[in-house]
Amino acid sequence: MARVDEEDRVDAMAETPRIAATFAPSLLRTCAAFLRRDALIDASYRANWIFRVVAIFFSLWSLFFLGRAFGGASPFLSRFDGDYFGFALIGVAFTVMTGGALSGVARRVRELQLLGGLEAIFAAPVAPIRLVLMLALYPSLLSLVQAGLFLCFGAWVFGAAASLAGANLLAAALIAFLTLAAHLALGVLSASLVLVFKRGDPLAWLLGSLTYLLSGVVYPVEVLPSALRPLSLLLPATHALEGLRGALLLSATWGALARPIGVLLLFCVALWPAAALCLRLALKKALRDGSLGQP
Amino acid sequence: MTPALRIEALHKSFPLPRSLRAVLRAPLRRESRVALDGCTLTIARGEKVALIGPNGAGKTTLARVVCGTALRDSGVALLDELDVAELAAHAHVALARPDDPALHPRLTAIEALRFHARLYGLATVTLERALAPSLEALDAHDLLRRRVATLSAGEKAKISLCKALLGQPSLLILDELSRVLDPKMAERVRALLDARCAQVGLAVLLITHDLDEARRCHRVLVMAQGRVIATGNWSEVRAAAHALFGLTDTD
Repeated sequence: MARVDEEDRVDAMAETPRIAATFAPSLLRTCAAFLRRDALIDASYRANWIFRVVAIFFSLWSLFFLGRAFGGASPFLSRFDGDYFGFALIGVAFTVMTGGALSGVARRVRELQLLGGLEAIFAAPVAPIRLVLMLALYPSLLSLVQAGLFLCFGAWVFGAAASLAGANLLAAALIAFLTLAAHLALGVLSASLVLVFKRGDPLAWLLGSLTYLLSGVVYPVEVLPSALRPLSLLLPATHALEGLRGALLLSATWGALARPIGVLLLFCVALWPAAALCLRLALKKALRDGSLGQP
Repeated sequence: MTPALRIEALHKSFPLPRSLRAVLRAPLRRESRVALDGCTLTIARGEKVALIGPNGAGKTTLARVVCGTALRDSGVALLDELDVAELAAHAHVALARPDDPALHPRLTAIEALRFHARLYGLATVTLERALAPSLEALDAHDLLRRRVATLSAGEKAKISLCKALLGQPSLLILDELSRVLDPKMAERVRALLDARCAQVGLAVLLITHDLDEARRCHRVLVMAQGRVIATGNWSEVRAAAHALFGLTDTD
């Protein structure tokens, strides 16, 4: 009897029509697959979500008290009516937003290297650059949501709503998009280094540190010595912050925002081909050395 | 009829790590370890072939080259007449292994399978239909709602095999899958594969150290030092295999 069951089972299997697809999936379907998977993995660490919200409140409180202690007194903040909290709110929201794009890709690549899943993902019939971008999708979107929450809590819980009244939201959204695109390209460059050198993410670390030091995240660029100011212009963050603060705090017009928008666009045009080339070379080296699946 | 897999004079070597002193002495010199040294083989559609050989013979490297996760140095490697390095060839081959890293430990088995299906262009409705026969044959329905991290090695192997068969590949590579399966499940897997070979022309490359398992295949390839040294049915390669592993006829 058991033998008959076994044969029935095998027969049922063999009768299956060839229904599976053997073509590369559409971009939209790949996006949905990665987003769903990463969201499910993230959701499985439930306590992490609580820590994230608590971290946002802790940062906002720190900025709020800093604003009360030092706001208004500094001549460097006169453009912003001495509103340090509003100024720093945009700066820190910016670092939250770009964090996922800048270091999220490299972090995901490294995680997969350690779990051994990188080879499995690159064995799929999907272009490698698309796969790497898909790996960046969830951390980038999560960072964007966190930055949005940061701004919303800052505005409505900590009283920055008045500073943001009259904001040019459309321009801010465009600048945020270009900022993410430029930082994502830097993130892909960083992931290329991780593909080759494995441990360590020197590019993201260097860029993160330089951005914090030179781009005016928590203090205006005007505070910097004149010798350092030209260096700050080499970072996309400086232009992004100028644009975001202009659009959100100063209600700047499109004309006034043309320069930061143009510079960010240039960064994107210059960085993306370089990122794609570096990724291609890094992947080729990893495939040649057989190190794609090595931790 | 075109073979599912055709490999000719395949060479692959991996660079060896060098000490700082050695790099400083001769920066341009490269040292490497040969993994595949002129490997040649063919697998026809519907054929189940065992690949046996001692540790370090190049079996897994061969699988990685065919799956497109390692680049060959030279030689020919064609899957359905498509070069294995081409992206399109990736959809024609699937790999199943006991501790499959493609199955993320934090996902449930069905979530992991769904992700894999979408990555290979399958719609959700198609997934259910494509999955049903394998689940039925392997009695794996109850595993779907469980998190991968909680599955035993044998259960993971079953899900890995279901995953590999989802995309209906031309060539299925099993990397030592049978070592974690109980005898009853090993028999079921054999029956499943034999049926697929016979009915849809699936080609199977079974990498194994289990000579009894190898004996049941249509053909056995004996590999040593990066090349195939004997091929044929078990009785034809038995002498070569026994010599390689230092076995006697009574073993």
